Amino acid sequence: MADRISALVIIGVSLYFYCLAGQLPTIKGFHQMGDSFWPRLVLGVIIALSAILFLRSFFIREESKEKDKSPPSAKFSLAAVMIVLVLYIISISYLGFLFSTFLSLMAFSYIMGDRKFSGIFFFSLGMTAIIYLIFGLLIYSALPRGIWIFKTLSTYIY
Amino acid sequence: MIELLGIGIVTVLQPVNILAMIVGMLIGLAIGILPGLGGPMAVALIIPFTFNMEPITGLLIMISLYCTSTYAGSITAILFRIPGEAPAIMTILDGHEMAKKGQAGKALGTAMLSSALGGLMSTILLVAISVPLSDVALQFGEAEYFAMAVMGLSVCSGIGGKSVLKNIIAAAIGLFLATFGTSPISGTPRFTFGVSGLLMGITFIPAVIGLFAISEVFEQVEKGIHKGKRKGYQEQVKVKIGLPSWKEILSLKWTFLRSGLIGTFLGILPGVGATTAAFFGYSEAVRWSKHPEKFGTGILEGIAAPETANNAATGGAMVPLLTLGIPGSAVTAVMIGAFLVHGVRPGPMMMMQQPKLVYSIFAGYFFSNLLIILAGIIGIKLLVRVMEFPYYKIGPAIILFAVIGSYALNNSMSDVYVALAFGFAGYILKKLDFGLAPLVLGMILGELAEVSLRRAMLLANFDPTVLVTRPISGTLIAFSVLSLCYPLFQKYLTKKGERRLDRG
Repeated sequence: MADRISALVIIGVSLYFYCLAGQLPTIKGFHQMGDSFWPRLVLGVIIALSAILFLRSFFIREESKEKDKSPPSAKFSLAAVMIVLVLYIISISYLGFLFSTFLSLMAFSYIMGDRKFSGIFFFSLGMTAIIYLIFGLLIYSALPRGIWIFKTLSTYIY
Repeated sequence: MIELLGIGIVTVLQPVNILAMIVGMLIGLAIGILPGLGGPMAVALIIPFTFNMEPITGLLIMISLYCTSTYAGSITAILFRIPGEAPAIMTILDGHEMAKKGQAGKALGTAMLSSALGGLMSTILLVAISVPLSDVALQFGEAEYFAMAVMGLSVCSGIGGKSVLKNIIAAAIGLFLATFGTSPISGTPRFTFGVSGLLMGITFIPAVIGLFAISEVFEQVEKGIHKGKRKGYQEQVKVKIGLPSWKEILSLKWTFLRSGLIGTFLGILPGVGATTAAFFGYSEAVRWSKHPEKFGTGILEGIAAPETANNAATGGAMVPLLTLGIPGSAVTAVMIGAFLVHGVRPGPMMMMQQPKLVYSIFAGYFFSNLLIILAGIIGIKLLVRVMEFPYYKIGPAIILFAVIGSYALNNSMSDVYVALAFGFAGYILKKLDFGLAPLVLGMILGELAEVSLRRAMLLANFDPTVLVTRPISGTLIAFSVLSLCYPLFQKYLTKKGERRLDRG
């Protein structure tokens, strides 16, 4: 079933881009093989192969996967890790790199199973400091400072 | 050539470069020992740390990491019957049997020696083959370049997921993703949706970091292996590495030579990696042995054959990368990112324009393989600590390195968004059994394939037969077809190996 759905999604997206490629401007002199030729050729291959995958799914039974048997708590942890990761990346622009990283590391450590608060705290602090030393001081990467009070606080530190 | 090699050796022996190789070795050891952490992920995460380094220093970290991680898988294979890396699967057969007999130290020593010898042999062949091969590649026209890209893509069936069809689809998706941005021939924007950040296309390194690092963390968390420590290893790793006697080493000389040649040759072939080399090395050792019945019972030959072959394959895999610019394995595909970060595009032009760098890479390979001996000695001690390290420390660290690594590339949050998007995409693709390495291959080779095809067609007055009628391009395309069919043969070999394992 998964193969069937993935094949249909791939075909749908590919068809959309196939139509979009048709709107690409063509430069005189390259008209026989314009900018749309290669993307359309590749998309055509993708559509054809996905169609085979779709048809094949009716004849070949998919093997039951071991990874699907993961415990419910692990699925919950995965969802939590995904949400925290998205929030972390969004928050970098607002809280600045150091604050968002420190808080996210604490959250990741907790979700992944660390239950000692001191361990979580010092690990998060240490990793944030290491990253700041490497990227902020050694590589001179302009780490985001965030906005409002976080910008002021970050400016004191880096 | 000798002069360039001398310059390469002097460059590699500079303190900073020795340090780089030692760092790479330590990371490679940790990656190789820990099941679930792969070479491509480690290389992808290391790339951002090398921004400010000299190109050779950054590359040496990766070369050393690649060689050591291939070897280190044998440590857990011998001691715990767990291959830390796939190429160590065949080492289980005799290695673990020796460990059960109380000869774990000697088994580990043989694996270490064999890996180092295999790597050194492949380095010599790498130097001997690369220069003449790149001279041939310099004569290539556009049709040959297109055929070369096709040959590079044909690897996709052999690396990545289990399904050949899905791997090919993944490679095609990669090719399509490479069309985003400005058209390489006319300069018009394609699929940019008005976003200026997309004008340069999808940034390769953040995409690779997302695919290999972020998705890997998702997968490990979902497996639920992240909680708690791995217990029960302390007793088993109270073992000291011990080398076989001179007499035993001499008795293995033909095994070393045969497996070294097999491994290098198979490493050169696109898509045929270290794992297959180990299978072939082992099966040929059985075939040529005077006492084939002893294989699987715990003999030195059974360790020397696969370990020499799998490390020889790492040097072999560098031949197509350095001479033709096409990666022959998942690790070398990601390693291209390291070259690109430093403004170097691997291929025949690099051999001509930057011979010092190329010969330094050769020398780096040589010394990285020598470092395997050091890795073997400290590997056991490190093993205790690494196996005790809980995933709730490793996982958050990987995510952090992935995010900051993507950001630091251009000091741009949009690269972090790319890494995030590819992290989710990589997780979904892996769940659906689509290979990630083929996707990366497509992204790497997309531009070369498009540009060379369009130019070849223009020069041939839009006659597509030119691609198969020119001798070199025709041969390469025929070879690509064979390469695409190869996984079926590989499946047969794997089943054969599994049957032996079951019997063992």
